[in-house]
Amino acid sequence: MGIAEQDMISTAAGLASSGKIVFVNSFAVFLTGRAFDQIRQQVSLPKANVKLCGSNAGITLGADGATHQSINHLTLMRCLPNMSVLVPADCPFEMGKAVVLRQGSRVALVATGPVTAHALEAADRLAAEGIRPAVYNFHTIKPFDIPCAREIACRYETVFTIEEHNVIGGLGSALAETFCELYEPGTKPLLHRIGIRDAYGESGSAEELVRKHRLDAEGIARTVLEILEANRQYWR
Amino acid sequence: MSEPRVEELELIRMFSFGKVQHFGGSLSCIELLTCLYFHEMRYSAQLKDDPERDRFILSKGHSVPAQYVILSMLGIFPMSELRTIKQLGSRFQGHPDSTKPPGIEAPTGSLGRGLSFANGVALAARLDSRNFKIFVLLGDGELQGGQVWEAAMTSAHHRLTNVCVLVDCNKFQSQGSVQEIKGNEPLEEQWAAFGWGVIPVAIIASTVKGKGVSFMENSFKYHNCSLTEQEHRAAEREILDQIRSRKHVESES
Repeated sequence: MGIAEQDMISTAAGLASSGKIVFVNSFAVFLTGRAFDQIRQQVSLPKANVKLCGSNAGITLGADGATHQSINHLTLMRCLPNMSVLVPADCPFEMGKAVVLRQGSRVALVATGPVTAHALEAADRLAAEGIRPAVYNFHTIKPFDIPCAREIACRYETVFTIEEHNVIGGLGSALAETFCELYEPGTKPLLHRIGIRDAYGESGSAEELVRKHRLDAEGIARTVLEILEANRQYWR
Repeated sequence: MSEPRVEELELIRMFSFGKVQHFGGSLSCIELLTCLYFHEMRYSAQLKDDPERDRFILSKGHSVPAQYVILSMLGIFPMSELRTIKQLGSRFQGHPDSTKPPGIEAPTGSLGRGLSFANGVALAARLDSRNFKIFVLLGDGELQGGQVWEAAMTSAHHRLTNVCVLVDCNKFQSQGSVQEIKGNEPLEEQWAAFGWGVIPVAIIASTVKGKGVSFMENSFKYHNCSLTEQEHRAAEREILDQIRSRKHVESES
């Protein structure tokens, strides 16, 4: 379709209206940004059978810099009615069902996407400090696994979400929204969102950028320790 | 087959006074729609779900009242139900919603999207070895948007012979004259430059915004507005007079 994301999405919608199953691909930043209105009006509104595949999401795109790094694709897609939103990672997959990768107690690390691997390494580091966090992967951001989210709220005192995305509007927000609407006593863990703290990306290597935003194992572990220390008085 | 100007009458009657409606652009294109649906397209109430039917896509979606009238005259839904347009719960949304009334092929309203959608339908038809035509109506103001030209390139590149564009060139948009806001004449050369002419075909129709109601003609004031009770009655009267005088002329000839 050429360098024409808007044309691509509307054309895909036309193909889907004739009964085709359509897969479209572009960089996540251009797919969800440049063609947002087309996705809104011609894909999500009529529930067109178009699969949007956004590649190179997050800051690990690296050298190309801010204009090509998507930090708000989940925010944009999550707020569209009828849209399902998936973030693949090397984890077991069943649509809509979060995965418990490691059992733990008192603390939970809830991750999405490739940073899930860093969450697991962070959990190893924290074990050396006497902290044994559970680790979850949420590959389906929408429809959100609310039963699992409720279970996390009941089981753990402190919960960290981890995503290669703005802390506004992605996994952290989805979990926070669920926690807000839990009214049973004992279901209000402390929630801290780890991710891109509302800043644009920049050029650099993937490793440098991940380290800068504390999304590597060491950064995640350090954040967990800092937050636990700062809130020690609130531990049950 | 429709009687002369009856469709304009029904258009005006559909809009009770005091409600905000897109008069100008609906009146400027309703004759084009009459011509397409009654004289050109392989389409009817019986064929509306036929996979080989011709399609019409209203890219300038705000003129959907005109399309509702024509579809109703084809017998696809009752004319009386059109009075519910834009009310909560009505099938007749303010802009084309393909999930609601039958006969609406594409969701439009946000301008500039219809030709791309039509290209998608045309590509699917090619994959399925089907030969139906797809007519797309755009507004001249709509041509100011970039996606129209992305789509125009796609149609020409893939030589989509079954796509035909019509441009309702009524010279005005919501804020004023098209040429004063962002001029795009001459349109014929523009489309030709993008590879249109023989395959595929674009028809530039020189129309009158608000046609048929003297105080609405060639004005952007009636792009999207409400009429007073007086204006509403005057509009209906003018069109009725035109229908009567046309019938008189026909009966004498």
